[in-house]
Amino acid sequence: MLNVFNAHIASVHAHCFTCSCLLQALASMTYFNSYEEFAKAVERLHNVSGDKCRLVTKYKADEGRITIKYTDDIVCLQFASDQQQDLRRLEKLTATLLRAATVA
Amino acid sequence: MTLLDNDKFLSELGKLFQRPKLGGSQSVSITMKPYNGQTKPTPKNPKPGYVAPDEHLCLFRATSGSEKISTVVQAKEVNKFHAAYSQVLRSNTDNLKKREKPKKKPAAGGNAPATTTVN
Repeated sequence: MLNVFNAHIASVHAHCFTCSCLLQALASMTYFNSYEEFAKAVERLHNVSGDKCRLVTKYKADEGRITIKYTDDIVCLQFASDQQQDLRRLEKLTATLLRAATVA
Repeated sequence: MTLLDNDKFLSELGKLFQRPKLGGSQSVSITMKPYNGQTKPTPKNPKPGYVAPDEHLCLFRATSGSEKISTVVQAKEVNKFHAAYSQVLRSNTDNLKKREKPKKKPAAGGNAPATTTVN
C-alpha cells in the first residue's frame, strides 16, 4: 500500500501539476475498498500535511452515493459508498478533523 | 460565495439539499479545511510589524449547482455546529441504502447464529 502511495507521490512530483492526463489515469486508483484503510490513510496524511488538506464530501441524490475525498492536492484519498452506515463514519471523521483544525 | 454565520449556513445547507428533489443539480458538495483567519493577501515583502494570521478556525463551503455558501467555525462552536451539521446530513441524505438486517432463518431447532454484514 505504501509503495503505491510513494509511487503516486513520486510520479505526481515528477510531472508538474499541468499533467492532468496522468492524474486522471491514476484517479481510479485513489478509491479505497474498505473504510478502515481509508481512515488510516487519512490519519497518515493528516499527520504529514494536515494544514494543507481539505475534506470534501459529495452527495449525489440521483445515484444515492456519498463520496469522501481527503487531499492536499498532491496525494488524494477517496472513498465512495451508498450505505447509510458509512454516513455515520463520515460524521465521526468530520468531527475529528473539525476538532483537530480548531484546537488552539 | 456567500459567507454566512453558522446557523444560517446550516439552514441554507438544508435548502441546498432540497435542490436535487426540485429537479436542479443532482449533487451537493461540502468541503471543509483548516483556516487561519486570513482576510488579506500575504504580502511578498512584509513590513517589519507584519504578523501572519494564526487563528485556528475551520472553513466550511457547500455548493450545489451554482449556489455557493460558506461559513467559518470557531473552536467554541465546534460541538454545537457539528451536532447540527450531522443532523442536517442525516436527515437529507435519504437515498442511501440502509444496512441489511441479517434475516433469521425460520426456527427449525434453535436460533440461527446472527451473521454480521462486513463493514
